[in-house]
Amino acid sequence: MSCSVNLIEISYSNGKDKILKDINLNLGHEEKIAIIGSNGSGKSTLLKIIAGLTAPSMGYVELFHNKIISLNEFKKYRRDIAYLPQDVTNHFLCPTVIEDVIFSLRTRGDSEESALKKADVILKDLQINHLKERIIFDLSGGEQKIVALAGLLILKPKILLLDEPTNALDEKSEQKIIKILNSLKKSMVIVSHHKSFIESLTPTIYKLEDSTLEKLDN
Amino acid sequence: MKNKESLILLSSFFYSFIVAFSVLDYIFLLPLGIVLFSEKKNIFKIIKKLIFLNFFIIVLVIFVYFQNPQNALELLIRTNLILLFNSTLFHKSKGYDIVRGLDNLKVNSKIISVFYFTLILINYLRLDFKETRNTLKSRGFKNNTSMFTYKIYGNVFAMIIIKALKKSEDIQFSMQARGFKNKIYFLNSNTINLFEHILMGSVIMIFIKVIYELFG
Repeated sequence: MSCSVNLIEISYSNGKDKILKDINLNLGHEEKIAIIGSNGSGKSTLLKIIAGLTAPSMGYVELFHNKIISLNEFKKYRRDIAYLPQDVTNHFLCPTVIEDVIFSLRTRGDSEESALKKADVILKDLQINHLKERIIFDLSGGEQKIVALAGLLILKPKILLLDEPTNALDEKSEQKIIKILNSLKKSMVIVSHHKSFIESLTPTIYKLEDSTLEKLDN
Repeated sequence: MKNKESLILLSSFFYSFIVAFSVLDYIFLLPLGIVLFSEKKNIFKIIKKLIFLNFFIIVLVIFVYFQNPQNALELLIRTNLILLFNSTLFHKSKGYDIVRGLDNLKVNSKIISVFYFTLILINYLRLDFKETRNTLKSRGFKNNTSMFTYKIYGNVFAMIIIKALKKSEDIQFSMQARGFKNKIYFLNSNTINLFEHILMGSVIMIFIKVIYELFG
């Protein structure tokens, strides 16, 4: 299995506190892994390091077998890595659903017409075509998560990094997200508290505890 | 001009400018009447808002009144005309249409982005403030003139600022992750209806009248 992401001896400290210590992790091609851990254990920080948003204090990230030393080097892989933040409202950069979904394509130079065509396909696939013209901040939490996913998937990324994708969602919305994520053939790192949610997506589960990452037995 | 948002924005700008800087005339009531008619169902809400805003204006008017009563009266009429026109025009607005209008008027994309994200942060702060107020109520906080009250208000204010800073940092992460390059891409609605045509027509009419009186 070829490797999408490789974390080598990653450590991260926030002042005096050591949040991550010598973390090693391999994420294979189209492999799904989940990371669980208590509040404040550093799960989101680890995800931000993989996404190239936070620099580790020690160690480095390998993306598609290329060693990444600085955050600047992540720029050429931005299209391949999609990151969904824990608070999904932080993801949105445009007022309406359709404008936000096509944002990443437009900012990378796609024409409005071509971006709209691609958005139509993805919105139909995720069954949210009816939300197209709505103001994002008027949508429910579940709808916002799916819209955010549409905005990520439109770029056809190779790696999906999801921080608590079912946080504060009802069961129906959670099931819809599970269905969508299970249908995707992509490398994924999912951070979540919900064990049942994680187990319905992947058998590969890691636990982040005392700053270290440990693989859990099936 | 492609969309109604920019037309409304221009109407607002020209009307406010004309009312502020020209001799008062009954014809200024025409565009106001048109917007009030279009929002006739919400007229009481709009008037309520206007009365609230007048609490601030009245202080200024009182100061001017002691120097020049005529100027004070004019100030009161002009500010109320402008406020009533704009609050009626943007009664249903959440601010996004203003950004969209600016985009259509080809305002610099950096300015639009700053305006848009400021708007988003203001909305978050408003929500945060509302939630904090509810928390204070539910936890039995009673405000009075004591050191304790001031301390609590100080804490709440500081917490809201910290939350806003955290929020901006998180939005910055999203911008980086999504490849934001100082530009938001809006889709134009292209739906100018009869109301916008009549409104713009009436504003142009009073603009021509004012210009004619100035130079005619």
